[in-house]
Order: sequence, then C-alpha cells, then structure tokens
Amino acid sequence: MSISLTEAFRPARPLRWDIILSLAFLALLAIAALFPWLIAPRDPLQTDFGNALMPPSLEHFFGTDKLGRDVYTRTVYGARYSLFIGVLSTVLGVGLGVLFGLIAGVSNRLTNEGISRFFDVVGAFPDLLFALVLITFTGPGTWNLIFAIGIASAPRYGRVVRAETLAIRESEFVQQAKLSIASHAKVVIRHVLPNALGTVPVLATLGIGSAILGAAGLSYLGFGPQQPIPEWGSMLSEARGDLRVAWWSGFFPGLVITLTVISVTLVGRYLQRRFERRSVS
Amino acid sequence: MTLTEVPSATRSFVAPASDLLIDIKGLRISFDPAEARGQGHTVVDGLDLQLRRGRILAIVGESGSGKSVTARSLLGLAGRGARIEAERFDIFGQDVRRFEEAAWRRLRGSRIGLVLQDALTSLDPLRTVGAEIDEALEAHAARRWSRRERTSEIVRLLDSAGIRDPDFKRRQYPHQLSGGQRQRALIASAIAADPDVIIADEPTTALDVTIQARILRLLKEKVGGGKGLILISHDLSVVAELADDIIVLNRGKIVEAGPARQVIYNPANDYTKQLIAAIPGSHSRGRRLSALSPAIAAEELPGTDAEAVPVVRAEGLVKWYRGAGGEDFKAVDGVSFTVHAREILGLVGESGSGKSTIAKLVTGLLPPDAGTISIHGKPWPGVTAGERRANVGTVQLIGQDSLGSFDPRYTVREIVAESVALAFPDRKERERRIRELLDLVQLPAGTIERHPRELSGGQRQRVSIARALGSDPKVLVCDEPVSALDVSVQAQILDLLHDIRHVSRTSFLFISHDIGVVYHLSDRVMVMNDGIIVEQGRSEEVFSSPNHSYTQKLLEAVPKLETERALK
Repeated sequence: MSISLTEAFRPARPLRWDIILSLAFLALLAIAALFPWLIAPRDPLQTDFGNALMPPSLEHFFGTDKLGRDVYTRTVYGARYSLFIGVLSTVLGVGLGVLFGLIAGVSNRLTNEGISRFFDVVGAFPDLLFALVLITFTGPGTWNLIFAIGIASAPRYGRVVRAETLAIRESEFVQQAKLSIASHAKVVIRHVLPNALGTVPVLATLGIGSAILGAAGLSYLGFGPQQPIPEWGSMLSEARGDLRVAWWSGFFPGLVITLTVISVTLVGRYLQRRFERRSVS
Repeated sequence: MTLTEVPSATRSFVAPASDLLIDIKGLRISFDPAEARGQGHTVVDGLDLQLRRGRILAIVGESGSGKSVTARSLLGLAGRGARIEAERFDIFGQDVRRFEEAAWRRLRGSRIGLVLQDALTSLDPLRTVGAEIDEALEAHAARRWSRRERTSEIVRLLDSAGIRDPDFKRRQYPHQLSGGQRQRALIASAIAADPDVIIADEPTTALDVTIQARILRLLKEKVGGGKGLILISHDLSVVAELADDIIVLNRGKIVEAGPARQVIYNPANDYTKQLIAAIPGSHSRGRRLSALSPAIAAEELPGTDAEAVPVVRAEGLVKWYRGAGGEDFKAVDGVSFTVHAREILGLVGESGSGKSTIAKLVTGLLPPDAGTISIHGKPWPGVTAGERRANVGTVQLIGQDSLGSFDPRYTVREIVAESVALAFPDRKERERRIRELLDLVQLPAGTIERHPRELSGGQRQRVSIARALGSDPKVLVCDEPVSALDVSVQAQILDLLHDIRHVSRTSFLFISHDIGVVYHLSDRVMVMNDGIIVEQGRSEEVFSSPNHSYTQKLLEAVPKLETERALK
C-alpha cells in the first residue's frame, strides 16, 4: 500500500473534550487535596446541631449532615484522604508488581514459575475481596488500607510486567545487544528493563481509579480512616441512615467518587492509546 | 466463439463483443486529507491500462509506486477516502465510475478474482479451505449447485490448482497447509466462480523459488482459457517470463509500458533500466548494481585469501528443536564448513532449510547440540556468559528486520555506540569512530540523532551495517539482509556490502533464499536443504554446473532474466 502505517498514525490528534474535562476535574481535585482551604473556607469537623440535615443552599452548597457539618467542605477535604490512599496504594501495588514481575521475567525457570504461580493464586481472588481479607488481619486504619489495596493489586501489574519482560528478552534487539555487550546483567538493565516498564505508567493511571473505588468501598465498610475524618467512603457510610430524608449527605460524596474514577480512567485510556500508537509506528 | 454458442443466461452481464476486458484511460487516485488522517496526496496519476482476453498484464513498481492501489481500484476496493477519477474506466464494457457498492459486489469474485500475497491472513483461520471455496461458489457461481456437486467442484478446483490429495486437503484448515498450498487454495477460491479477470497482487513474494515457479505456471494456465490476468509485482524478473505486456510504475506515474520483450530487453526509460540493472545474479558479479551508490574511496587492503587458518571452522554442527507435538525436529544435521579471511561464503536454501539456525549458531546466540565452531583456531563457545565475555564483538549479525533489531528507545548514535564501545573505550575516539562508520555506510549527517523508525528501510539497514562493523568483527553474519528491501534499495545495500568487504578485514557468512543475491556477492557458496549442506564450492562452479539434484531443481526454478542481452 502506498500509505504506510507510520504515516497514517503520526498526525497528533488534538486533545478531545472529554480528556480536557477530565484533566480539569483532576486539577480541581489536586487543589482540593493540597490547599482545601482555598476553595472551602469552613472547618470540616465543625458541628452545628441546629443546622443538621439542611438541604443544599447558597450557605451550604451540598447541604449539611446529621451533625450539622457542611457536606461541601467535608467533600473537599475528603479529596486529600481519598487521593492519598488511591495514589499511594497504586504506587505500592505497582512497585511490588514491577519488582516481582521483573524478577520472574529475568530469572531462571524455577523462580519464574514460583512467582508466576503465586501471582495466579493471589490473582484468582477479586482484588477487593483479597484486600478485605488482608485488612481483617491488620485491623482498620489509613495505612492498613493502603497496604491491603496495594498488595492486593500487585499481581495484576506483576503479571503484565513479567509477560512484557519475557517477550522483550526474546526480542531481536536484545539478541542483537548480546553480540555487543558482554555482561548478561548489563543487557537486562540497558535493554530489557526500560522497555518492559513502558506500559507501567499507563497501567498505573488506570489502576488509580480502581484503587480509589476500592478504598472508598473498604472505608464504607469501616476499615478505612476512622471518624471524624471526612473520607468519601466513610462519608457515604455515615449518610446511609439519612438517605431517605437527606439524599444530599450521601449523593455528593458518591458523585465525586464516580467523577474521579471516570476522569482517571479516561485519562488512563487516552495514555494507553497514545502508547499503543507509539509502539505501532 | 462458435455460432451455436449462446452466452450463459444466468450471467448478469452479456459478454462484450470486443475482447477488451478492462480499458482505463487517465486514471488518477488521490486520498482525501480528512479521511486519510492528513495524508492526502495523489498516489496514481494519469495511468492508462488495457487488458485483453488471453493476455497477461504485469504492473511492476517499487513500494509506494501505486501498483497495489491501482489493482484495488479495479475491484472498487481502493479504500476509505480514496478519490478515483478517470477519463475512461470501463470494465467489461461498463463504465464503473458511477458504480455503487452493490454493483461492485456483483463484479467482485464472480467476474474479477483477487489473489493476495499473504494467504495466511487472506484465508479465514477458523474455516477449512473447502468451506472457503464453497462460499465463493455459493456467492458467485453461475448456477445453484447441490451439496454433492459443490463438493466435487471444490475437489476439482483444488486439483486444478495443483493440490495433491484434494479430497483430504479440502477438510484442512489454513494453518495445516504449507505456504505454497495456501496460495494454491487461495487461487482455487479466486477462480471458483470462473471469473474473466484474475488480479494477483504479489502472489509469490513470500514463497520459495521452487513453489513460486509452480504458482506462476498455474496462473499462466488459468489464462489459457481466454481470461485476463493482471500480475502485480515489485520484481521484474518474476514477471518477465510470464507477462505479455508490462507497465512500469514509479511514484504513481507510468514510466514505461509496452510488450514484455520490449520493456525488458530494450527499455527506453532510465528508471526501467535502473530496475533491470539492479537485479543481482550471475551476470552482475563484480559489477555495481546501482548507479546511485558511490563507490567507497578507500585503499584496498592487501588480499590474504590464501591465509592458512580459516577464520571460521564449523564441524559436525547439529541442532534439535523441540516440536509442538513433543516430537523433536533436527533443524541442522551435521553441517561442516569453513570461512576464510576476507571471504564471502554464501548460504542459500529455502525456508525451513535451517539457514537461520546456522546464523544463530555462528553468532553464538544458540549453543549447538553437537559439533564445534572455532574462530581463528580458538573454540567459539556457546551461550555460557563467562566464555562469551572474552569474545564478545568478534561475530556480528545483520538481520532482515533491522527495525526490530534496534532498541526502540535508542537513536542512531546510541545504537552504533553500543558496539563501538567495545573497541573504543575512550569517549572522544568513540564519537569519531561513530561518525566514521556512518560516513562509511553513507548515511546523511542529519540522521545521527534520529530514531530508526523515522528512517527508510534502506537507511535502517545501513545503520545495522554500521553497528555490525562497530566492534571490528572478524566475522559478519548476514541473515537475509536485503529480503525486505525494494530492488533498487537492495542494489545499493549489496553494493555497500561489496565495498565494505574490500576495505575491512571482515569475513562474511551471507545467508539468503535469493539465489541471485547470493550468486552476485559470494566467493563460495553452500546449498542447504533439510538441515544438510547438499553442495558447496566456488560460486561459478556450483551455479553453472550444479552436481546435486536439489541445486539443479533450485536453479531451474529461479526466474531468469537475460539481462546481459538486455543491457547491451
């Protein structure tokens, strides 16, 4: 054909509107996480029993909960905890996954098989269920939650990294490099590892979404940050009893969780497509 | 046509009185920028084409010449965003310029059959070849067939396509057939509906010469019955024997068209002359293939052909592969050979003969199961890391897929630097040597900081050669180094390798399925079949008077182009 793939795929597409909106929302979340007082001047822990369960108004954008705390302020402050837990547990999961995936990919058959089968066993449980099992042993708390979700998601990354490593180890350019580089370790470090890690940033971005969702789920069950910390999942949990009379106390944290997960996933997908296109050309 | 014969009533068209099947004048195909993602341009411009009954028309051109898109436009398959304009575009006497998809569909398959290059991707992997042909029969045949009639027709078609044991083969899936058999099955399905025109787009490019010869013969037979065949190829020598008329395309324009004899033996156009001159073979030994490749101006090193110790000595090499069904397969079976200093040893064989395994064994990437390799009298170890360390860089490899052999993150400089670092630990000298090598392989200065994927196929192969020379290797293994290149680029790369051999002290093991290429370059040659070297000796002797029956078979199958005469 007269149009080569390279040419057909090269033109940079403009950012699409859904990506722009997602990035804008994530930027807003970042501000909320780092400088919550800039956009929410109230105190998230300030109770006001006289104003309990007030519907959304100009005074209280998202209404108030049963203790009279401002739901908007709590939602803004909650970004800090939810993002913190989501990002940190993903970092932990990716870190462990990459470490063991690479070890499995470059080492001898026995180690490779051992690690892979371990990944298979752990990966056979749904992530959230496995995290739940872990956290029942360690007890609730922010750090325990991070560990539980991080460890539970590690096999997912590990398997991808292992498969990539194995494929790249056999690729032609690695074979070729062996002709010019004497040490096996040097070939691995220079050529195998960097190329095997190419997909990790993309996977991690996609993973943050499910980590945030998982964290919210476990917090809802009471395993996350303890009262009165305004974490989104535990806000949902508290609002459970009042939903019939005050939908807003649960609706807005839930909405923010949903939007966050959608935004992160859209951005992740976008990065993924970009990455795949790059490897095609 | 006799007077009593009446055109079949079930045909949707009445056969035109004239024997003119396809008549095109001033064809212009362009791609709309919006649809083709900003790549709008004219790919074919002002093409005239006429196909008559019983004739074979060849369209020859290199990649990007517009030959494939021309073929596709004859089926209404030019693709999304393609704009087709023509002064005249008649197929079977009908003006197809206003054709809707439905009208094209009536034409496709039933009246124009298409045979593509890659039979494996053209055939549905989940259906037997019989079912594939059955579909073509059902959709296009002139009349309704009963199940039993269809089965016997399928067997007849496969048989006529030269497939042995057709009743058994029709129940097999594409992956169970060899490449040649798949191509035959594809031809059988293309001719199932007895079309008047067959378009074959590079039908033999992926095949070995012996199979290629049979496929071409088969296509020629099919034209015997008053049909028309359009043969598309990048290789003039393939079409030379077959075609009645040849159109030579370059960048979407016809540079030369006429009867085959005239185009090949008396070309008027410079581009056609270049193409013919670029074909390597017996006639081209010691001659430059391309006028575009400047000779390397360097003093020739004194010849040491008669050096006592051979550079490579391989003895009794054996390599087994574990087969899929648990059965082991002997890829290399007791192979012995030597490569002398500054010699080019050619290794020729068809796919599956074990050539590439030899390449891996000599480079040391694969340990032999039995036998030894020594380089300069010292044993060349297998893949054990410690032993390799001392000898790394002694043997280098130039492969077919140069892009796949580069780390995708690396620039040209980094790629070459890796092997140069072995001989030049000092950073400054290394830099100088890299530039020297890039000059030697005639890469433009601006390419050094670029990524190979931004370069053309020929430039990439030059980078690959520069890298291979970087560690100052004693032996250079070239495994199908020009197979993925167009004829004119291939000519330049072969010229380059020929020059390098004269200015370096490197010995070559040159592996190719293309006998012409091997003959052009090699001093001595080995012919390999089923893991065994069936014949070896000086190139002239082996190729002019082959002793082994396999070599003879191989040489007979090579399309011959009497270019010696043509060039005079």
